[in-house]
Amino acid sequence: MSGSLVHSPAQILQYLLIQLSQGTLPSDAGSWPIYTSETPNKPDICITTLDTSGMDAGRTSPDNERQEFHGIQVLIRASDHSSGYTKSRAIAIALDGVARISTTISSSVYHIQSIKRTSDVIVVGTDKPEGKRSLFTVNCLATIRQTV
Amino acid sequence: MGSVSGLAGLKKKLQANAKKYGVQNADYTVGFTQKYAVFVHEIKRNYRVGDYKYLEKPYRELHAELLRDIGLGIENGGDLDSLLLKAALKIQRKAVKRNKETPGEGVPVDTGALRASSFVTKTSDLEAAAAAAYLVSEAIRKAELAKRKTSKAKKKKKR
Repeated sequence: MSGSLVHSPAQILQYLLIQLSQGTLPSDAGSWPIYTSETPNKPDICITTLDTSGMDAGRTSPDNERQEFHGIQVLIRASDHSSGYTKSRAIAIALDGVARISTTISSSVYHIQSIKRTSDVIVVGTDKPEGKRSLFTVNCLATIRQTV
Repeated sequence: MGSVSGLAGLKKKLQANAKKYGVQNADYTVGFTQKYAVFVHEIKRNYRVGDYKYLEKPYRELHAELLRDIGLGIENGGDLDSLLLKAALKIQRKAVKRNKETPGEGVPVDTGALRASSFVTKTSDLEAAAAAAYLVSEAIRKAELAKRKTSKAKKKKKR
């Protein structure tokens, strides 16, 4: 899918994960706050969605519309390996179940046709300079269209 | 309940095609073996040279082009094994290439060990190739660190 997007795919995924009960908005001060674009140094336990390189999927005929997959990375940071892995796996499974779902950000509505996970949970290790927090990533490609 | 007929015939045709185009064992891996390769690939940082996702990005950018090249190559009578090797080398080249005009692309470089740990191999030889690339990159890393230590000591002496 293509077309213009008012919010970035990472922001859309942030709201979708909240809709899927995988986390909360940082302003809500709940468990597993989901940030986008940048990971703050605190809290230790958080999720970040980041835009990564997408993939071209050719053009459709006869409208010649460019089709593309948007690349998104979900970064999970936890205070220990076990809880981090469990959360990462839950997010991966939740993403696998996404098909034809709509999500709303302010007044914009996005239709997420599908999410293709491109990797299993990647155990990155710990971010030693700042602490001993465990890091995990889940990478995916999403097909998104803004409907409103 | 619906049924699918002619599967045995299709299987035979696919096997014959696989034999014709040399598909058996045609499987290549592009990778980096340094200990911190996964961390650098997955975690976004402000690198002086290069960027994270240094392997995924070239693959995604080249994906359509590589598929087209392989298809054309087969059509022109090329063998799949060498076409896949060519595609793998193209991905590797784009990942390790250093371009002054676009310093934010490709593998991040500090000691040069990560860049040196890149390899392309037949997937059946993966372990041996990865181990060999790791040894080379470790030698580079140790040499660079020793060089830095010496130059630091010299500077200290001068003061």
